Amino acid sequence: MTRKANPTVLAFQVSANRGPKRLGVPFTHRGDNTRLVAVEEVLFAEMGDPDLADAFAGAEIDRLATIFGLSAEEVAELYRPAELKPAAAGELHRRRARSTRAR
Amino acid sequence: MTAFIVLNNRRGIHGLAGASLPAVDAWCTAHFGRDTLQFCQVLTARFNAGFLSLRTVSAGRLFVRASVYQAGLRVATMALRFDPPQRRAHISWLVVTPTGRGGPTSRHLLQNLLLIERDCGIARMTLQAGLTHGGYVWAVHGFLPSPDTAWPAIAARLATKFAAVASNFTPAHVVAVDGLLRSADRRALRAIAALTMPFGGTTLGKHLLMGESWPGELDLSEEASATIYLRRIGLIP
Repeated sequence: MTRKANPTVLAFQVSANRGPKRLGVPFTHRGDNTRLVAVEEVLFAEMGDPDLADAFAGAEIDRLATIFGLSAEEVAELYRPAELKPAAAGELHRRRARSTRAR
Repeated sequence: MTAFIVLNNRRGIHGLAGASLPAVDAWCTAHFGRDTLQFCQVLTARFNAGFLSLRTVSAGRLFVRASVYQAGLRVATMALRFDPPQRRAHISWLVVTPTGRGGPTSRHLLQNLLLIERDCGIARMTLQAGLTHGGYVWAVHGFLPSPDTAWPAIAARLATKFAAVASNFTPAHVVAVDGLLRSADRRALRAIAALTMPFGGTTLGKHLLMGESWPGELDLSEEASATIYLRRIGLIP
């Protein structure tokens, strides 16, 4: 374990081919954690959040409409807020009752 | 010639190694205003631990590869290039492990990255939007095609894609979407991404841009783009 006594960064320095110390961090270069997912996919999944369902805020839509000369009717047709699924629209999930009595 | 930095943020332990560490430290001091350790601490803030490889390239550029850990498990890995003389940062790749999904991992990484970019005077982020979701995701994060001349080719591909499904929409919709795709203004990409007409179980904007690939940039000095990005990464409501 390497604990740096001196506050300057260069206080601890070893040759490049020696490699980093582990410092208690269980690096998993191989094995259990190799299925990486592109962050785009993760961000996309987060956008499924009802709060982020619309691509842009209303102000940005208005700005785009001005830039591209879209009428109010066209904006309403093209950028109508996406319809949310019932679960996403605020319907609460009810906990299923226990089928057996708790002991 | 790479510098290696290992951080255990929970225990306050760190290690630095590598023959190029002085060069990396000089870069951090010159462009970030603080040393290598602090650079790495900012990039891995709110994560339990990090393992970073840093390398200076030519004049003023820094390559960074970083893996971040939560509760002993790697949750994300990323590769970046900082170019303060050009006021530019390039995201080469950013991946999240299944362990890191469903949490704030990606947003926290992008927020940390923004802090470093701010302190390095970075005004422009670039990347290649691609893979399955990137063509849509980066558009709704405020990125635009770069250079401007890239947009007509993207628009042509989108127009072909739209022509194949146009029969599902009203003539007024078709005229409006075609008008956007004929525009020479690259911000039309944003207008396309925002389309909410339902199609194929999603919106038309998502349908058209999913699977697309385009070179993108985000100009942080441009208010509209910056606002979209800050909202997306959770820094403003």
